[in-house]
Amino acid sequence: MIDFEGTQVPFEEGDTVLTAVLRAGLWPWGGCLCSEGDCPYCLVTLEGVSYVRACRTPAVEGLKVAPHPSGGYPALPSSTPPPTGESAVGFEMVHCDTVVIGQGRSGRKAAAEARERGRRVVTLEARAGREAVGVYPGPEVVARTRDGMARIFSAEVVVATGSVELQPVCPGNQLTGILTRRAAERLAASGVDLGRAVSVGRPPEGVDCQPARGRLVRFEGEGTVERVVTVDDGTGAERTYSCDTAVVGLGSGPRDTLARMAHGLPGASSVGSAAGCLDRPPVPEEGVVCPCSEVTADDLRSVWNRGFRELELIKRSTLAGTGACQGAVCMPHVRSFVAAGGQELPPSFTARPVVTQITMGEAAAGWYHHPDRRTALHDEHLALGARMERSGGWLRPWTYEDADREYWAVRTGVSICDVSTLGKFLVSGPDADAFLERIYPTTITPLRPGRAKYVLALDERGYVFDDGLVCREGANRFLLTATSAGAGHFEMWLRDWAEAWGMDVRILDRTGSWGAINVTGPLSGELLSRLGAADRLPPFMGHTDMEVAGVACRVMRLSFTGEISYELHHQASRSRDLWRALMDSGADLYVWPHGLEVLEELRLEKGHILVGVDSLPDSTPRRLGHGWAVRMDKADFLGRLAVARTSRMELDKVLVGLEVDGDPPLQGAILRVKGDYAGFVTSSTWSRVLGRSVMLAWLQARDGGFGGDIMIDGRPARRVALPFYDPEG
Amino acid sequence: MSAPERFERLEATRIVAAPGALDEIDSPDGGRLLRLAPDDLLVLPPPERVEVADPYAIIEPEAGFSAAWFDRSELARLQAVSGWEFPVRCPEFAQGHLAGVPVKMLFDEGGVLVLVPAVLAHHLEERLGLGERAE
Amino acid sequence: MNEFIEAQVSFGWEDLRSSYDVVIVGGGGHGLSTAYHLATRHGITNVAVLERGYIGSGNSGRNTTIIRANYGIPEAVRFYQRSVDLYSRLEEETGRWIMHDRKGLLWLVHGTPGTRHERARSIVNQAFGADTVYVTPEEVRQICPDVDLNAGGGEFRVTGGSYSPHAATARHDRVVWALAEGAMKRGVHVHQRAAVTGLLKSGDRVTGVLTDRGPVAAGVVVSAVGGHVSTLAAMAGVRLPIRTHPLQAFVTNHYARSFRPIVASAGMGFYVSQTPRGEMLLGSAIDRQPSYSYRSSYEFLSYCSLPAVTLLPFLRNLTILRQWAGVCDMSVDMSPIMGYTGVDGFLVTTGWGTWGFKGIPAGGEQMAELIATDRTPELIAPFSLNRFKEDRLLFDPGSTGTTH
Repeated sequence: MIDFEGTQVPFEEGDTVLTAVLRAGLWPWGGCLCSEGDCPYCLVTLEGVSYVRACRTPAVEGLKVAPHPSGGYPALPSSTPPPTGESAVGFEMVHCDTVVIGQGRSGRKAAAEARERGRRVVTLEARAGREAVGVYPGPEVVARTRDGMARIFSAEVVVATGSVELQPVCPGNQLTGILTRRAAERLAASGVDLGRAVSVGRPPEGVDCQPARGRLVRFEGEGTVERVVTVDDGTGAERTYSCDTAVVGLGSGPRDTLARMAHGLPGASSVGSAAGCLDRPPVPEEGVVCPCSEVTADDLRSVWNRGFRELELIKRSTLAGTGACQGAVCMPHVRSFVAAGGQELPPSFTARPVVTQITMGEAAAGWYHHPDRRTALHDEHLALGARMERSGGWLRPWTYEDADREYWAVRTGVSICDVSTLGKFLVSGPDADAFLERIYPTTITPLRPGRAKYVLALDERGYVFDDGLVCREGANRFLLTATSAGAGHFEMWLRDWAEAWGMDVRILDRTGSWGAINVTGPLSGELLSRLGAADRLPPFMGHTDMEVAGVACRVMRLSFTGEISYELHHQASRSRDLWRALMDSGADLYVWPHGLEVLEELRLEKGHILVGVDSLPDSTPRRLGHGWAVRMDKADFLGRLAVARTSRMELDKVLVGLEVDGDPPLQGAILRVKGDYAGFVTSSTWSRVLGRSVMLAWLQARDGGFGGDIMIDGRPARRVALPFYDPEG
Repeated sequence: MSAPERFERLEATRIVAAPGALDEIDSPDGGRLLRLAPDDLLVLPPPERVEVADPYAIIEPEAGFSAAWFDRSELARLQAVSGWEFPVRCPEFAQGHLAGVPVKMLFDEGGVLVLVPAVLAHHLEERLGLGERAE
Repeated sequence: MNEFIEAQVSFGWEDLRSSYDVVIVGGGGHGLSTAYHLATRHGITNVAVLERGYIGSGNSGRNTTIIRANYGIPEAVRFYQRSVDLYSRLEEETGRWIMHDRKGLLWLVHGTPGTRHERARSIVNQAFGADTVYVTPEEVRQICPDVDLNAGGGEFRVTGGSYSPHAATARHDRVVWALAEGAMKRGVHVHQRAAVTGLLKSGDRVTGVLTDRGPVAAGVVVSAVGGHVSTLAAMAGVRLPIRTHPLQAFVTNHYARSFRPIVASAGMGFYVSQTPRGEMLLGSAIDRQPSYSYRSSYEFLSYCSLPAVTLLPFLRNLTILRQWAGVCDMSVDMSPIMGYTGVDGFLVTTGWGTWGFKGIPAGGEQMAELIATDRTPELIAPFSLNRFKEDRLLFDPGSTGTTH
């Protein structure tokens, strides 16, 4: 039994819900049923999913079926998440040579021929529960099967979807009890009692019915069809036939939505009736043309008379063809209507996926959220209670939930920070120096082995898109670093230009292979010396290879935090050993890691910009206050022309350091000078060590200069030289 | 058990050098050469020493990949989450995506060695349901 | 009778003349809005709008109909807020039902950096006349109870967002028709199936257009072309800093209307609203590969549906009805380009990327004023083509990525 709106309906093996319900003597659907998935009449709601066609749904025991609301639309489902996850919908990708959509006569023939040619063939047949959803470039055919969704990749797609029967357009065509010819044949064969059946047009085969003579004029009845009225076009005389069921055989057209979708795709073709011609229906005179959008023949005439005289404009103004059946019912009639206006029969409007309506849950199957990267220390962070945040495509510790402890560890003791996410690239080759001289706006060649230099990366427009370090390892070999978020783009940038310039260099991305831990704070040297690095630590902006805690490291001395810092680059397979050794050996130094939140505060106090946070997409070095990082006396580098050009223009905005008393303004807080907008804050923090709020902000020029008293949130702000903290270093 | 429980960080040697110099490197005994790009070679397992006829070659230990071995019986399951078709003949090396994660795959008679960037390995484990069936 | 059938607008088509004061190439929203405002605000009616297909057949009829001003830079907030205001008066002004509906827009974020960003957005919005406010997760719940604040089991936990009560939707076609009708009633000629194949020039000056129906002289030629604008501009010798990318969208079947706001998440990469007829309308970011293709992809359905059902679980059981694509003219700085081109007699309104529908009333109003007065109005002065030479770009990357 299936449960149809509370009524228990028996079914037989192989029944669809449509067949079972009609056989039980129920006929809850108005309009001319096609039983082939084209018309929008037999819609039901199943297991919370509306717009399911009863003629496409196998009857199974216990199925609960609710009819589609008559008038109005189904309610949106409740917001309660269902208990099952995405995995509830099956999914697979399939690879073959030929996909044949439709397994009627021509489809079977096409499949057999392809197999004879040695092709691996996948066939789809909606009636067998393997429904095509759409044909996409590739070619790719998407199908819904009883196992879930399938994306099928092939070299050939053959569309053999057959024909679709024309629907009657006349008064009374929305009454119940009307069937297409093929629907009548199929239902009668399944044992549905059609009662007194009257057919118009071509009569069905194997169905006991009375053929009506003449052309269909209207159906009559109260809710249910009771009479079919025809006219003799010769005499003008009407004839009326009493009936329980009306069967219409008015001709057919190609079921060509998929064929039109596939049209123009390499490897796609259509065969059989799907590639055939439309039996042009008479111009609609009266009655519902588009049942989905309730468009009548009068409506068509009305918009036509008001100037909507193209198929597309008629569609858009009446919404004919935009409902659940996507024009399967109405389009032949609307095309015929347009042609009657003196135009040729217009082509159907663009065929768009989907042809089988899948749920969004089904569409989501087999897809994944963009994967966040994790460093080798991910579990260490979690064990220390870190709250992780997405940053530049990585999951990184935002805080270990004690910002004070994190901050003061850096400023007064020693702290460690996982900076494995930094972009790291090795460059080697006879052209390595020449290559980097052209990539970077500063001089590279004088850099000695073991030394590092801060660099900006400029694009062709002279805008800063990344920054980092260049470290020379040897005569023709360098290590470059890039920001965590920018590393992927930076690698492409390097490779593209090496290729464009024909430079003889080798480039290797070490971002994922090397971990990096920054050991920072006044006691950082002490901690490292305990781990075997006593007297060999490099000078500021220097780098040395050595073992720390038995782990081979490249140790670089920098200062992003404003304290002595040693960045330990090492094989990511040893990250955990190194991290634990640092934590264990530093226990009595009160070593504690810091996350991005405190790092933000530390670097701001030191006046370091974060490219992508403080910079804008049009930040020239001059606007950023980084003109010192550009050597215009170099003959050539990327962006040089643009920098030369823009540097002659009046400076219109600069990134500046500001201080205010009291709480830090929000990121985005507006700067005002004499009440006028003058820029905004990019980063701000309360400085624990300075006892006031510090920030970076864009300041716009006024009257050609940057003077005037700056107010932020009604408070005076002081412009100060960077860094805010420890200017002597 | 034909499915691995998880991906393990792989030890290998990475060589970036002039393509001609990489062409001349012989496969080590019992080891594998995976040509990632004309100028990029991955050697499994890391050899004791390797000669590369390119003075500018970058020869580095590689710790950026995690790997797992899947028996032949697992291939269909992997293919079902791959938008590209696996090679028929073997041994064969291929690179693409599995379940939306970039991978390198070495197909062999008995199955396939899947290499995934270590920073993404946890996603692939989850998406392939590794470890689940052992519980 | 379906109440959504257009039962009011009436077009009067005229024959093409050989000369007009103003010829506007492109019968989409911007071209028609420019013509409408020329006629209604400045009494300039000897105007022709030439449309290669039917009116609104380009991106005006393919967009996701969202009207909002919650941009990230002052120049854009001001301009789009003007458009928001004009849209809210358009029904009264034209007497036509454009289905304008002030729904409010929730822009959700999933992490501290995003939270900071949305706070910043609300600050610059309020400073320049848009009513965007920062909202906490609890306020998100009140505005849209359907949002799963712990989306994806916490992976996409909602940490806050911004809410723009001014944000609205309107039926895209009806906006086009109301403007076309309003212009035509005042004497403007709108010609469909009139393809411009070249430009007439006298020396360096553009003096008209060549069409597939013959030459048409013009005092001023305005390009309001979408998609192939670079080709037309090249005929005038103007190089535009524009690349064209497809943008896809889809709708579900129709459901009783109960989903009130527009909900977007840039971090998850989708946005959704319910149309006046009840379809749920979803979109995402532009395709990364530049192209003029109108083809849809299945991947789009997947990558749009997954985040949507994760953040709004009730969407899971809705059935997808139809997907489509438009093409977007993306300028280098992701802001539109309006005004003079450096070539006499040739103006452009272009670079409408994914924000074209929002800008229709204000874009047309301002372009009309420029044509009528031969002076660039203050509101669109920052959007001139010159900005690329003068290094005064209008980057606003955080505002245009997802919600169109």
